[in-house]
Amino acid sequence: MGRTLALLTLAIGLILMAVGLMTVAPVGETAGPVISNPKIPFAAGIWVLGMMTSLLTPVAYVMGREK
Amino acid sequence: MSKEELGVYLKPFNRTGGKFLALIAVLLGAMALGGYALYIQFTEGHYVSGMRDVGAGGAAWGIYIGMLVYFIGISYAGISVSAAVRLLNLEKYKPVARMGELLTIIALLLGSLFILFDLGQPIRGVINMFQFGRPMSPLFFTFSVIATGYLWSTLIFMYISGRRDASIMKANGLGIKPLYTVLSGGYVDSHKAREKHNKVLKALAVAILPLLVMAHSFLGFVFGLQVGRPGWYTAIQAPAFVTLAAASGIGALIIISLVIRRTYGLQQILTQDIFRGLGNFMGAATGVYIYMIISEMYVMKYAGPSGEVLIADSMLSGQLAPYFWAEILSFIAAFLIIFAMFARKSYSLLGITTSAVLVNIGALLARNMIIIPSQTLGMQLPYALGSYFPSWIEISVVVGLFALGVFLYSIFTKIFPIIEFPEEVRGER
Repeated sequence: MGRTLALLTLAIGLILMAVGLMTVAPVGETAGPVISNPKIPFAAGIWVLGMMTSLLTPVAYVMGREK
Repeated sequence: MSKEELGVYLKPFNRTGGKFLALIAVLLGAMALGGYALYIQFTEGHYVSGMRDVGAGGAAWGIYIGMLVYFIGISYAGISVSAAVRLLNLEKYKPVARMGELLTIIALLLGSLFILFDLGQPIRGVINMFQFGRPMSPLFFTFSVIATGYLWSTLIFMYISGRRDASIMKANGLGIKPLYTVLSGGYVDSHKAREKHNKVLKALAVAILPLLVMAHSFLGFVFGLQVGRPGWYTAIQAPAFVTLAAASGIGALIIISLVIRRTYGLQQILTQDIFRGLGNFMGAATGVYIYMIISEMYVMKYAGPSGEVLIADSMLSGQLAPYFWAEILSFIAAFLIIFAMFARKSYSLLGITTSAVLVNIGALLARNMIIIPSQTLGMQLPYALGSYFPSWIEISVVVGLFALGVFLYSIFTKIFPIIEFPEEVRGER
């Protein structure tokens, strides 16, 4: 139970991190980022949320009930 | 374990006298002063601070950023000691592990507040960062690694390592029961549960140690990657940030542990042997940092471009010389004290404490000497040179935030065991 919950938490966290990273503002023609133009709103926030969720993996593991 | 032996660990809960209350009153007064200064800063604008635009006679990053870097550096100690205790089974240092974790959390909290107070519109700043930030940027990456990765993982680390202690407190009917019920929720003390928690903490320590190096390095890169700013643009910034963080952080941990040892009479648990080990580590890190400063100053002065030479001259013999030499002498004195004790194989707590205080004075000066001269003197464009000195508003905010840190630390020692209970003590079963 604990292991399943932990793996699920880690997977959600990593997916959120990947989504955040892929949707932040792209680099423009002048090689600088177009910072005010992320592909989805709050992409950087999604990256941070993903990092926090991933780090909750050990909590999910210890909170999961033993068989 | 007998009740008497357990009682030693509970000493902080028993001793709440007039002195403690007086300390809390003083801290609240200092926090009120800081709050008032902040109110003025937010209502009248940053003009009330000593900060001015770079190129218009001042520095845009002043003492707030200096203190941010100092506190992020302080945060190094706690979690690194705690992670090393779990990872390398350094049982000897276990009594200072939680003190270290708490130091890390409070230092990171204070560091984050310093960034917010450096902004004219803190809320807008935070929202914009989440909305428009790019993890590839050193500034945003530093924020996401420090504020979320580092702070968050330390909170998780402390929570997991504290579950058994919360369960013990609850089982023995001590302290604030609802708090311990929440913290120990679902924890049943057994050999299997302890093993499981230790295994998780080891895994988390493996994840935290690289995060720690990344956090401190990227904070160095925030400065070290700025090509147009003489004094900042150097490859030594990241390793120097990590090294000074190690020295000042361990120094702060030594000071705090000694204060707790003396205040609560914990000589039995916080033995001199612990401080000897921490002191040696701090001394070694200080020695390496002195070497780095000498190397950097030598390169700047010998063949550096005009901006670097101007900053080096100001530090060595100009307007900034008193601060620079005070910093260097503090580090050298701290190193020599530890080295003398090491050579004589005879350590004293007074010597270790003096050295730790000197390292932290040096670190406070060093952090500000990294931030400010490169803005007031280090310009590639033909602007007039500037100067910076913090206003009373900034000094009050710094005092207020220091007081907040001490306040939070003091209160924590009264509501949760500051030293982890030994293995023999049993929790709820």
